Amino acid sequence: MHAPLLVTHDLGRRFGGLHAVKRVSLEVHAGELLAIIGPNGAGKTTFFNMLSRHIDPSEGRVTFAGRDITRLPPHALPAIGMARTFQRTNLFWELTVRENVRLAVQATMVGGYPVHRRLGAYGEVAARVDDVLRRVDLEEHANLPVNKLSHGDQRMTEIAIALGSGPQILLLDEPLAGMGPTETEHAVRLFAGMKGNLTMLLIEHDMDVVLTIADRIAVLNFGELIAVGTPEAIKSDPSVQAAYLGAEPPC
Amino acid sequence: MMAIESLPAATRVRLRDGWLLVGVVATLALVPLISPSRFYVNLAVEVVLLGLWAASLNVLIGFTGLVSFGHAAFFGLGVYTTGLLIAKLGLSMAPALLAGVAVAAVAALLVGIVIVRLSGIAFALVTLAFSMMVFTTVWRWSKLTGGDDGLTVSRPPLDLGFVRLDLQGAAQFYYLALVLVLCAYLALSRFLASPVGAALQAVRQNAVRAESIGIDVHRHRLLAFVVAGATAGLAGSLYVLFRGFAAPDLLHWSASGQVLLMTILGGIGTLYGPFLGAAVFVVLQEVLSTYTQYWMLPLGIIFILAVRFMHGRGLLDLLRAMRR
Repeated sequence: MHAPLLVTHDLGRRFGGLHAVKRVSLEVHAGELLAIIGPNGAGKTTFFNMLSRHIDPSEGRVTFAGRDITRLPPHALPAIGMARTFQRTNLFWELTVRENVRLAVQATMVGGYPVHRRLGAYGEVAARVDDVLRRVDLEEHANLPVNKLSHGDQRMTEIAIALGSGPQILLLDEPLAGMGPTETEHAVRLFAGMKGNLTMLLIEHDMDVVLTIADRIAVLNFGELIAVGTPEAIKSDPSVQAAYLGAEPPC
Repeated sequence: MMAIESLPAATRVRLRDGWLLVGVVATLALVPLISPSRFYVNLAVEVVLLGLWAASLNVLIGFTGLVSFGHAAFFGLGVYTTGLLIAKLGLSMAPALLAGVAVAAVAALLVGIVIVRLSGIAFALVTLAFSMMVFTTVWRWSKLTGGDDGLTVSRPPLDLGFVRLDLQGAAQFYYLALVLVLCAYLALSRFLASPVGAALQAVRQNAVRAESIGIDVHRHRLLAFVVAGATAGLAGSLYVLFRGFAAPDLLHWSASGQVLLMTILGGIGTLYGPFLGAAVFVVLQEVLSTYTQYWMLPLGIIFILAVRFMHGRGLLDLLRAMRR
């Protein structure tokens, strides 16, 4: 088995009286695709936002590659190998696809505060941008402003930006939301192809997709981690069935 | 011609802009030679110095997305630092200029550390409050600054060790100002074209996403604030050498308002737009004030119409649109 890359230790978050995430301890192994599922309001996005450091946990710790990242600011994560996508498409709307990806590439690849060289003079940045655009199949639209793209291509740009940081682990927050069938198929193929080289943590409602591509599945219900295991094990887990039958079914 | 046509559109625009810059600088350099009197030379100095000040504000507004209502403070710190060092300590020109830039930069750093966490109206109000503090200090501390009476600053020669330039004539000083403003302009445009400049625009467009791709939003805002403050300081330092006189109204909040108008009038998307805005402002003010002492009134109406019909895109976009 692979070593755990990202580990949460009793990670939890309260919002006033609401205990949104309760002492979740989870290990994400290097190279796997781990899907997080659960009924609406189960705490999936809160859990994610703690990992990406957009909200502070009320309890517990997060370690990444053995390093405690519980208190790091969000902008420090791409440099150590973590990147995320957003549930609601979150782009630089005035820029082209290429410029969007290039910002993510330069932020980790160039780093620091170089003010004396033109951005265009960094050949290695342009090369990685081209590489990412090819992987997500957006070369054709590279020079279009992102606000002119179809919704599906905007969702792919969202993923391309995250890949631009050259991450070890990618946090995907409902990346397929609003995609049509062909686009979904394209994205699923992309994720499946990246498994092994890239660790992925995926929040997704489409159970067909999750059961097809996930190596393991973690189930959250009312903020608690109720099961972790292979798709087969999760499908036949009685507590998971109870959670889904008791609450609303997954859509 | 073939080669230029085959380049992608963005590169072609840049080439054309390069020639435009050469043309504008050459025209400006001719002003003292063709001008019948010092009047037009002085008008041109005013335009390039106020233009640099407005361009420095645009680094904040147009590129970083921070609207400052107190940009006169940094211009004024340049004015009074350079002015006082010459008038009280008899410093020569180069160190007095450098000190003006340095004091403005340090002030921007100290203020910036406190306020880069703010944005929108809170940021604007704190910059306004800071500029009022600087204004009040200069105005009340009359023993040092001359207060309301102002401070007379005689222009010292420029002594660079190997060469000593007198620069007492209007045209001579104009050429110094033109060279320094051009250097500052080129440095700013390189800064904005660098990876840091791209990151600033990312911060302006979407701070949350910028942060999540690894851009330290606060540090980048701080850097922009210091660069803008230092450049405004340079404009102010040169301005006091040009005028030979420092007065508190140069750092009053209404001066911050005027530079904001120049920037918006010229267009907030580019570095050279504000120079155009400054030119229009200075010329309009000059023309209108010969007809009426209430020149602010027609100027105000022109601004309202300009903002109403240009939708914040500035004169430059208007000219481009007309040419198409």
